Amino acid sequence: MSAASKPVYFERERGVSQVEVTPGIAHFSVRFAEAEAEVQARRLELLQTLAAGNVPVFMVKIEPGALCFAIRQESVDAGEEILKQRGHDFEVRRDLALLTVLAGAMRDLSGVMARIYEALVGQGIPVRQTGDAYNAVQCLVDGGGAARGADALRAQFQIENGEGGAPS
Amino acid sequence: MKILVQKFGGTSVASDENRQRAASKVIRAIQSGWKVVVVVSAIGRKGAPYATDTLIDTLRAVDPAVPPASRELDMMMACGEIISTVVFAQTLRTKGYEAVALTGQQAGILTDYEFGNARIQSIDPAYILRMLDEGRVAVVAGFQGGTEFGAITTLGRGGSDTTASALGAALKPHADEVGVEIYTDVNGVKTADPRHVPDARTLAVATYEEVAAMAHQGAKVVHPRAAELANQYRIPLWVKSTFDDEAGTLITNEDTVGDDIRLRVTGVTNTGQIVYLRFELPSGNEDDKGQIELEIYRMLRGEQIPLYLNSTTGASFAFAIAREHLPRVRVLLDGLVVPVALGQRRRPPFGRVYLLGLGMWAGFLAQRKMLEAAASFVELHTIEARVQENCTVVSVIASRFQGVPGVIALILEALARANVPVYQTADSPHSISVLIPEGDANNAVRALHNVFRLGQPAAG
Repeated sequence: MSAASKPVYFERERGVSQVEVTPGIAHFSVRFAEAEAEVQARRLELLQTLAAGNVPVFMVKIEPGALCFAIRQESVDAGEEILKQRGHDFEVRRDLALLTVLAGAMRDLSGVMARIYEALVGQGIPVRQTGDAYNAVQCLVDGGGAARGADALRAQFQIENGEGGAPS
Repeated sequence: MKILVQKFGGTSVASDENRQRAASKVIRAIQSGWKVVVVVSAIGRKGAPYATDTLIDTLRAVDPAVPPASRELDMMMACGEIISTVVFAQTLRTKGYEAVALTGQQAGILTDYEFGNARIQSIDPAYILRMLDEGRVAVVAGFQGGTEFGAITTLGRGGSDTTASALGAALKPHADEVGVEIYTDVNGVKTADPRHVPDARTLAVATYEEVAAMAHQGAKVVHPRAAELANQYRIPLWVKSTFDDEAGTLITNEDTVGDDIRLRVTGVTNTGQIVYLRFELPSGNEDDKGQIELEIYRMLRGEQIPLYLNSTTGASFAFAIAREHLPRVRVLLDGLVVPVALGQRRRPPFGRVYLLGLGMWAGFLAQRKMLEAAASFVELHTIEARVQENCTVVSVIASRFQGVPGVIALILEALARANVPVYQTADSPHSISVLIPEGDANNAVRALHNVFRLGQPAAG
């Protein structure tokens, strides 16, 4: 190596790099009595009604005969009110927290879900809903177990102070 | 010193005519005062004599029953780019420009030992800098590097894009200005695949995050590793066409753009031939779901099978896999037995046992016969998966739209109008995806491209 040049080090970020906790989430599960052929229209109507009421939803999941979604704390009451007014059959689970596991390229990593479940199930923390993207897996857990779950995930992926991360 | 890294893909160097066009881009940059480092891919696509796939076939043809060693396979694949560097350097020389061809190792690229998908550990740009100081163009073989003991490695998918970005990062400390240009056969990052959406528009500017999200979700623009490296080292990255003089797309940092770009719907992508698997536990047994999911995910991890579009609600859970993995997944999961809370009671039933079925029946039936013999000792439950084949994922790339009221409703409404059934959705801070029948992919992409008004502005 010449004295004038210095090597540049990179591509060390392979693996999970960070675990984030977002408290104050509620999870809704709305059931429809109609036949499945009609349920697609009912799901859309429901989402349109929530949008018209200015209620943001996320982690939207289509289930047979049902629609599930999450709402942040500040909009939970408004969302619940809309569902009641419309006479929907629903369950709401409040005081949940979102654990977000971040990685450079999640879909290139195999086994991330297994390791997440090893950490959470090993701590007796039930996962209420999951979501994923190319750079993240999100797990909705009971708020009381969120800190413990985050610690278990950080230990599982060998993350200290939000940096680093072992190959997955 | 201003240093420009220009990367030319396989099509851009596939013929003498195309190489002349590529060389003219290099010469124009030199005439504008840049010191130029060229990164080239192998010449042409499958069937061309030195294309990567052709070289692999040559090696495998020695004996199809004996797979090549990964080290030697990488050495063989690297030959395509090395030949391309020499031909391109000679093309420049014939035009009166001094050029030197460099392998990845000669360019100072040190990688780990993961043959076929190596990661760059460091780059020592000394040799390249000496060539530039001497007034030569450095023509570097993309997609490759070497280990500390000299074995040649390849960088996996998008390897040449990654080489270009990585060289930009390594050269940045030695230059007053650095840029990276990725030349391809389209004139920039498009709002959708123009083969299926004729009014797809070229974006003048896009952020690294937008491009990474698009690339990860199916857009064939620039490899996400290259975008992520450019982002990490703050290197301006251009995507341009070898075959025209359009400005292309500047990929840049989010801090340098306005809200019109940071808060927009960027494009619509489509990726994957996907199978969706859904499992339903007997009502009342929800507490056992986590243990069953864990066992399934462990089985898939053992075979390095990625899964996505995960969902778990109440008594059911679901996930998607690539269609190519379905036969292996059937073998792994059909007949899988998951014991839960076994031995926690002193009297029968001693625990619960779940038996999974995935439509192969052989494993499932054999296991069930054995387990039925133990039915007086344990609670036996069977879970037959619903397998939805022939699916694909269409994604709306939209920064910071997760949770904005009405966006998901708008997407589902547009798809309903287009008669596209939606099996599942997934949303993240960068995108909203829908799982739909594969045959409806183009229809869905067009409908969503239209509803978000991403096409060319109307003429006049």
